Amino acid sequence: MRAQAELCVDGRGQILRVVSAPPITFRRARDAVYFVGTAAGPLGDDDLATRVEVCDGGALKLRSAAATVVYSGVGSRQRFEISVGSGATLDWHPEPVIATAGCRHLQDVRISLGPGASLDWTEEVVLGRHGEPPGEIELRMHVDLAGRPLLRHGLAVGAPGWDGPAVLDGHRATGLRLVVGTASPAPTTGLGWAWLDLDGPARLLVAYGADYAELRVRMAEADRSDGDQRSSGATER
Amino acid sequence: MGSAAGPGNSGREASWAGDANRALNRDKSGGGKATLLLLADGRLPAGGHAHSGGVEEAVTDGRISGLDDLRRYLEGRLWTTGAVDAALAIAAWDLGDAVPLPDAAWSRLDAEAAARMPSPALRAASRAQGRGILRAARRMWPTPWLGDLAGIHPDGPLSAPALGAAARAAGLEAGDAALLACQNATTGPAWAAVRLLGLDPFSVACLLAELAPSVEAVAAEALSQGAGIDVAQLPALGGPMTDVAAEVHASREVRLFAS
Repeated sequence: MRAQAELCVDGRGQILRVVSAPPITFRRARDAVYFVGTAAGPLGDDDLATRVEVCDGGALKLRSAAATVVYSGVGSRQRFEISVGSGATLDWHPEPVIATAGCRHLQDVRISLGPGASLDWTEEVVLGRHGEPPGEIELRMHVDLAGRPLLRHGLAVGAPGWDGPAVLDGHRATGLRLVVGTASPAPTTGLGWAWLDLDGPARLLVAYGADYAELRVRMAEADRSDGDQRSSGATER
Repeated sequence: MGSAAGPGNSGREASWAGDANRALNRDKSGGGKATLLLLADGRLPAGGHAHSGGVEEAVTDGRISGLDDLRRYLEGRLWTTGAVDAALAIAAWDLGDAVPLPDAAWSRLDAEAAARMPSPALRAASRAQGRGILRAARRMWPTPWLGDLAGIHPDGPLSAPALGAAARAAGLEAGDAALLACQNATTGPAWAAVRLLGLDPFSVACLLAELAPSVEAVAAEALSQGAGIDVAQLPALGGPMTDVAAEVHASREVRLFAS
């Protein structure tokens, strides 16, 4: 399946343009814009692209109605191309991606932030449904701030050594939260998580857990340590 | 051979001396296997011995307690840190030697490399190693552009670009730079594990011998992706546990290794 969805928000936070393309459908609710899965997938050789643009000064909060379940594939792809304009804000926290047995999937996120843009981006991945080994999934994140590289991050589940002590060592859930543009408190660590100060005005939370429940507990603990009330509210949906 | 130089052994000696001198002259421009071995030697005074590549913390928190854990750790490290460092070293090799030094391109590469290291503890450790590599290389193969590299960042260059630049100054090939990066990603941590856990050195040597084809494969893959590609598109791969553990390790008061 090939699909290209698009959402564009203007400087006052109003939706300028929305193009839904199953399985990716946008639904506006009172608190946020929601991704609603309107077909199974990604699976097979699906190539899904989602473009989200927040114009200068605008704001968008994005959530999802359900987890994204990645089924058996032969090289499925899901690309996100995100642009957040000068002084604009994007708050992004969909439900987790679940990589089932036999999947072969690439999630490629490219974010371009204008000067003074704010970003609060959370993504989580669960490796296999209960008791099931995951297939192969590669997560890539590529973030530029005002034209400079801010973060190039990747995780390749299924590559040699991925389940060893350098990468995940038996943990079946991992997540990250990237916060750009708000004041950064002193970096802290806890069991299975750390806030990392990036080489730029941003910080990255890296966390892992035995399963999704443990990951959520750890990410919530990290959120509390970060003392950011607005966002800890957002994660306790 | 040697008939015009006179009878007996004298001709052979003259020829041998000639060959030796030609070899010496070739070595001044570098690029031979001995030069590669020199840069790969852990005893090189470049500061590499002070770093365990994350093994110390992995031993402390119980992730590595024996040879099998070490094997899995090194595999993961090779296919994440090793692959990324190989690509960065090739990119630096590719920039090297241009006169004048393309400042903007080096700054860009430094920023791209730093963006691949979210852990501030790992960035600091990498810059410490980068300074060490550069300090040694500037003495061993003095070239003006190598000296200029020290100014690329107030804390010095990151280790992988520094290694690539050193390889270029030494007259080595891009593939050698990649191989050095992959070798560093595995041998340093392996020998640190011998010290930290008292592992049998012969067993660890066997493990490294088994890993050698993978080291070659990762370096070859980095090379096949090509020197000269847009540095923004270089691979970025990490391990969540490595990043978290690096921060915990940096906060410890008592440690044997800097990272």
